[in-house]
Amino acid sequence: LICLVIGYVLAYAIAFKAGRWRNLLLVLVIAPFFTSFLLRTLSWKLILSDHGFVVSTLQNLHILGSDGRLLNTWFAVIAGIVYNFLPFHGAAALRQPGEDRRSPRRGGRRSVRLAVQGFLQGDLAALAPGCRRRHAAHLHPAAGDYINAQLLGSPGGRMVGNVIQSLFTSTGDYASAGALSMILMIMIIGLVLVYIRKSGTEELV
Amino acid sequence: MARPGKGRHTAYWLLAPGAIWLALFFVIPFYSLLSASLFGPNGSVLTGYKVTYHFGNYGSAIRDYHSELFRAPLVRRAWRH
Repeated sequence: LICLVIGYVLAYAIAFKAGRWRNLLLVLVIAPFFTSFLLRTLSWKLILSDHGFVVSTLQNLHILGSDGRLLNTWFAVIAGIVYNFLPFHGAAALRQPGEDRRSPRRGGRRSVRLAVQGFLQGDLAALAPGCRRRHAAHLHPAAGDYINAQLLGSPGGRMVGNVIQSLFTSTGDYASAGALSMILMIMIIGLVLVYIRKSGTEELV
Repeated sequence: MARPGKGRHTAYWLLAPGAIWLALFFVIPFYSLLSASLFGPNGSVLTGYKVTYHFGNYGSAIRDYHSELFRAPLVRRAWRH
């Protein structure tokens, strides 16, 4: 959901407000994709480290306690997941199939209600298919992700990907790992089928 | 002049690389995963595993790991803090 909100705002800003900077901003959003997923996640360890800039700033602002930390918390894992999968949403600005539905910029003053209505039905609606498509696309890798929880989270905060990985590699409980993987796969297929039923297959890829 | 029927199978031949790719990287791993999920409960790394169609693995997986499967564990932890 965080990805969807940030991604929507990002896609909106790039698609409609960036002007001649549009292509540059798009490249900046998508550029992290050119580096390794593992490397990107490891870099968050530096950013959120106990003696890093972010933690010390938050401690100075008394948002975090003097012994407060961000690394190895749920916050770090969610931040990592959002960062890693945000480019999927930013890329929604690549295509605006409904650009023709944008609210016309008329001269003179418009009432706030009309302006909001025009914004929701025009600009925002124009980006909706792209964002929906990207959200569906990023659900699959995010569902099985275990790198973020392993590198940025605490040992207690496991995601289903971590459970499957540890059952396969550490415990050697192949039966449970296989069953869990199949259940996860069936759940994802179910969600994709719901998506296809609602939106068709054209926007899926 | 092209003989009638010539090239009738071209489309299938063109599909072959995709079909081989799909078989190698989807069908075989999927079959392997499906068989692993139906291993008997008495198997181990030392004694080996046998496919005994033990569907109970699914029930026990849901029972043991339902919190990881059906709820975002991190959000749950966030509520606790």
